[in-house]
Amino acid sequence: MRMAIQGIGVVGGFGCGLSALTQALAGKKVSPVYLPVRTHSGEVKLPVLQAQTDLLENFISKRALRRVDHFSRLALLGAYLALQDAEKKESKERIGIIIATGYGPSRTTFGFLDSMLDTDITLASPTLFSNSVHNIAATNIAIRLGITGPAITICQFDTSFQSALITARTWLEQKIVDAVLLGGVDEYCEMLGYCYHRFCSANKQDDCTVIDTGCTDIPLGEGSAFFYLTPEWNNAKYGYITKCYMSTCNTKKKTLFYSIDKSRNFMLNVPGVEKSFFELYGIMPIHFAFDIIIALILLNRQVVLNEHDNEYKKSLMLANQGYCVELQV
Amino acid sequence: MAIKQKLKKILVEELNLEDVVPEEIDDSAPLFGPDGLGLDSLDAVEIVVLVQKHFGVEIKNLEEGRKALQSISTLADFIESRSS
Repeated sequence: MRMAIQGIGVVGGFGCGLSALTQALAGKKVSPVYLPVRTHSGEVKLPVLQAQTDLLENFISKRALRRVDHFSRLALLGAYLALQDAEKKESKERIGIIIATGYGPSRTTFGFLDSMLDTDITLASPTLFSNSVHNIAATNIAIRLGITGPAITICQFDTSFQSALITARTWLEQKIVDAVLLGGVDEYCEMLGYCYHRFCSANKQDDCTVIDTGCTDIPLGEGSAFFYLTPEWNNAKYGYITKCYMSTCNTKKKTLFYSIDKSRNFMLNVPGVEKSFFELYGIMPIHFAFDIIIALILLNRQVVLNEHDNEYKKSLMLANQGYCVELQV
Repeated sequence: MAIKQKLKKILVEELNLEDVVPEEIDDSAPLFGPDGLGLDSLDAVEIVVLVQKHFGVEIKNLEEGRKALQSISTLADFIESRSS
């Protein structure tokens, strides 16, 4: 079954909303900030494309947000923008929420663990604990938006979003829900920066090949990318996800950390054309969600993607980590 | 720093009260409910942890908590009485 894309909400280092991402695609400069990371050999600074969530105050009061951590704020803002964009008609009991995340709310997870190590298990913060639970973003979205359909969070590193897409299609096919609010969310935290730095250093100094990090100069990233999906019989605002499956289309060896191999990230259905857009949103496990939005922007704007091919494309195939997704407009 | 000032600063920072500054908090205003600072039961648990962490004073049970967690003044008095 095809899934109709009715709304999009996106937040990242490029800014907030589809227009900000479109501007970045058109060449508007996206600049990282350099954040300190403490390492065994002193402090280093890593480039990070940070996402701001100030605009969330347009939807929720500051007071109501005080217990909502950065991870959930990213998710909430993406979800609000997608729903606003979709002008949804489905009842809130019939909407499902699916969140995909590589590492979950890592700031609060490590913050909570640190609070136990720094003091004592009895002095751990209950608020930090509640925010460290991986389903917290889906919970916050359900509570704030009053959505009472099923909610799930899928956390399987680089393939989280791909797997979430297949789950969304299953829910719609089986008529468990009438619409799915599907979002990919990842946040940056110092611990992830530290890990990235260590793995990269190991690769450079010790020729370590146990974990293929594919280290590059591309900044680390964070953000959220949300879709409001309905079954195919609805007219789609942006296009359709026509295929979504696991396959052997990716023949290169799997990575266990960030997947930043340019050649695999964004594969078009035009032989010989491969593109990557990591520079716009940064390295993060759920990058595939951003790639799908970028592909939709390109398809809807009828951008000629292949200089050797003058035909406008009506469909694109994206392949990553053994998953294939086909989009149509 | 006096206990009351320190308490106000801790509450604003740790409970993430972005719409309040420590100087604005009335010493005798209720911590909970709509007439005061507007905190709730989850904040109460957080305050118990914060008081132990920052002042080394344990609020051991519901009865102690009920008396201590009325306002900044009652909480400061409780901390002072247990610190000495």
